[in-house]
Amino acid sequence: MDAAAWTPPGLDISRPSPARVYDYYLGGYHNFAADREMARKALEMWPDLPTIMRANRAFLRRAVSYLAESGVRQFLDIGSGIPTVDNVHSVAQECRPDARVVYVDIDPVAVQHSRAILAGDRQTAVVQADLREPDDVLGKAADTGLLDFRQPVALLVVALLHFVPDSDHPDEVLRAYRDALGSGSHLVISHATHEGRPELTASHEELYRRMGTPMTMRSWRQVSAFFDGYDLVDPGLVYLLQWRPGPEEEATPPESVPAWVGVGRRS
Amino acid sequence: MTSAAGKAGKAAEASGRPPLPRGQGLAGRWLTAIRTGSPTLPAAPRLARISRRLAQEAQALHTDPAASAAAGRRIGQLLVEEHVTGEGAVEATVQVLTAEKGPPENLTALVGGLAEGFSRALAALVLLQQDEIHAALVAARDDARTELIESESRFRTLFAAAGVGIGVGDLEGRILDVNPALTRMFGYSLEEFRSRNVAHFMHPDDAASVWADYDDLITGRRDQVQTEKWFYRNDGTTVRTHLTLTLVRDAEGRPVRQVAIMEDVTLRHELEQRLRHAATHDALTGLANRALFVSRLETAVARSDSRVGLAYLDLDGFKMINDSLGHRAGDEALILLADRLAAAVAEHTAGWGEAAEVARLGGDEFVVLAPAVPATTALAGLAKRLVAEVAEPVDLTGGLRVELSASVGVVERRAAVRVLRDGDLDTAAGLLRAADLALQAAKAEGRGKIAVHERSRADRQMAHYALAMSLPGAARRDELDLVYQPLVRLTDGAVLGAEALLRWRHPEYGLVAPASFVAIAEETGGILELGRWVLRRACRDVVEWGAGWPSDGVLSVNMAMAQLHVPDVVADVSGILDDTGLAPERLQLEVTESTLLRPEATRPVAALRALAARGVRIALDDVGTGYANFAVLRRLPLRSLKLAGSLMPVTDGEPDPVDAEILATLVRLGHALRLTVIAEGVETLEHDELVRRSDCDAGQGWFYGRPVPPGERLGA
Repeated sequence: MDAAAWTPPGLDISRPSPARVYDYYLGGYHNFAADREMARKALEMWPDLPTIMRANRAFLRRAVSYLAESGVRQFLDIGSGIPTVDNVHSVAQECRPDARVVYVDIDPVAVQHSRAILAGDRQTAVVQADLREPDDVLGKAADTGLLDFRQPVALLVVALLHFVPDSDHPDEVLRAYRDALGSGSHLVISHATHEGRPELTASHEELYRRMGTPMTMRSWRQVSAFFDGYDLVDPGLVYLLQWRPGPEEEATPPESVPAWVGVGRRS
Repeated sequence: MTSAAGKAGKAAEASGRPPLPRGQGLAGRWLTAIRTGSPTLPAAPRLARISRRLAQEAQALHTDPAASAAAGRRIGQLLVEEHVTGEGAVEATVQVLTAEKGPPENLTALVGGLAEGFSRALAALVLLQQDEIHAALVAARDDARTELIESESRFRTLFAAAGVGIGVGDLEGRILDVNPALTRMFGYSLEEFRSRNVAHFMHPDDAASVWADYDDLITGRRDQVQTEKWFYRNDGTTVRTHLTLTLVRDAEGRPVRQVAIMEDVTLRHELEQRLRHAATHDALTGLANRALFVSRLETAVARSDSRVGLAYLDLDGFKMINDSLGHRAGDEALILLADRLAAAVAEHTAGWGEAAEVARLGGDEFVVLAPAVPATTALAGLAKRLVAEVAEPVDLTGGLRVELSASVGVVERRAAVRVLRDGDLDTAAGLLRAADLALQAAKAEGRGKIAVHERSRADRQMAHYALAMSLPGAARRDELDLVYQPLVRLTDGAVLGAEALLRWRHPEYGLVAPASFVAIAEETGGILELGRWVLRRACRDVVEWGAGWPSDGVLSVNMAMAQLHVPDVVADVSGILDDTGLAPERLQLEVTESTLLRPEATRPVAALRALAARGVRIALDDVGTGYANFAVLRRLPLRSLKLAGSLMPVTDGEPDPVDAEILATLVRLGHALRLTVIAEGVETLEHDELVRRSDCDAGQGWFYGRPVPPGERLGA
């Protein structure tokens, strides 16, 4: 057999990996030439990208802080990538030292890296799985022994759903997760949108399509539907910078980060 | 790169923002400077801790350059460790620090130390993270390789242990690898396989489509081919396999390999063949059975240019063999005859365009199908040969020799002149029916006869059968009538009674003569129901007749042999008499001579005795037509003889003296047996004079009175 035919995604460093590109935007060095090349091209088209990525990271931090303060102790972070700064478990544990986190990513390199930096941490685990296979994700998460799905769990789907095309039925996928989680559980979503910055949408989608991970921008209404049956906590589904902003977020025009974010709760 | 933080810092510089407010410590000033516009920094509590560390280290500015340089290095390292590495972070930090009061050499040393500490720490961080990501990559690749090795080893195990044969070849047909099951299946070693090309495994029985499909596969036009096919094994024997060929493509979709999976289905195939043979062949003789014969006949008939011939053969009286010698002997005779017929047909028709074949249709019926009759007389010749073959004695085990004969019906569909052809012979069913009808005609002529299909005869036979088919419901459909022909005493012309005669008004054929349909009813067994209906209706008619019926008149009704064989015939007749109220002595049953004079007719004779004992009169009908066993006549409970109408002369004028003497002799015989003698068929004055001269007691016929419907006056 031809070795190349058997190489899983992410193992071929001549192609950029979304997780490593994201790490580069966040100022990390867990990336290879192809990743940086891709990032540099992206920046030429959209110089604000690192700001947007970091803003997204900041939203994740604010959301996790909020959840931990609300009493959530279990986190399932899908599409966790290569976390170096402000990982979910460190943010959550600042408030709840007993918080447990399971990271999920499809990229085997990201998973290996996460395992390396989290080695020895008994409150975290990393599994390789695909968001689009809810049974597999939830099964592997449960197998880690860290999460008790009878208790509230916060499911984090941050900056990920816009990589799932409609043909993969994200609404069905999300419904499966929502149904699987019990009362008091939360769903956190941030999702890129064409609303607010329509002039940039085409070029951005084109960029990711070229990268091999096409993007699907969705409207406020479409993203709202992902929370179907969950109650959105204040301030609802809003621009990323409008969700419980700190002073820095308040100082920036909300449309400059064209993403809808929200936190839903199952009553 | 233009981060928000960098932009904000430059903006502050460019706009000549006023100095940081007094009263705020270094920590606060640094926080303000570093934070401006950047959401990338650590969370506020950690940032505050960093700012306090920074202020603490900045105290070194009040000591000496060495301590300041050391503090600067720690600050640089701190910024890296705490991920305060974004663009503008170092610049903002240096600006805040250089705004502090202190000796210039200490400030220079601090900034120099910061630059060195930051760059060293950053370099270390870069190297660390690059090591980490490389390690992660290696680990992930190891995992993938382990999975690949495991899956390959699983595949290897599967390949080696599989019961099905698996072979891998390239697109040129070179065989690269085969599993042990395949080497066992074919008897070739792995090396022998590797030295051969796929094309080597052609078999003469391969369908043309198999190799066309193969070409489609290796050229990528299709991805899978499934078929069943024969292969030669190394030792020259054959193996039949269910073969699945699959095309393997590379990551880019280009065809690279072919994989063959083969299952040995030789046994299953043989079993199927055997089952198919069993379904289409006669188990006893091994000849084709009816199903196969019909399908071959249909195929032959479908070819419009063929002269299709059938010879339908039935062994005469074969039931006797079974009855007297047992079924085993009967079966043995059938097997021997079947072999003989098959051999004879093969030999006789070897020169025909297509050899004829024998099938066994069941019992003692065989049929020869000749799909290509060469000449008009050829079939008759074949039929003669068949008759001759059967006529040869058959020697059974145990020294028993049987002599048989066969009747043959022959039909041919002539292809040459289509318009003149009989349309009925254009279907398999029509052809077979014609052969059957011809066979019936042959059988009617006696043993060992051959009859060739004739359209007019077949039509008559068909009409006959049509009649037979419609007889059972005739009474129910009110198509049957009874009429009554008077019996007249010759001495004084008094009406003694009447014979009930059956009429059938057939909706299609009109009035049908009893002679035709009674025979049919006797063949089909319908006579029993018909006979009962006639008896009951006649008894009722007479009871209800009224004034026209003589006070002591006798009703004469015909009774068939079959009716007398029914065990409860006596109870039947008694029941009808009781139901209708006709006195037994007023009923006369007419039975035919032939019916009663057979030696085996013990049951009918017993039945007649029982009926006679009840008072019913018995008359022997049609006397003078068959052979008469006069000795037996004495033992029968007869009251009268009815002389057949055929004894009456057909010509006008004086009767032949010999005829007259025969009649007189029969009358004397009857009288000697103390029986009343009645002449039938008396239609003319001459007949009347004849029967009177012959001393008959009574007469019946148009001369004395036509048959009348019930209730009407009897007699002229």
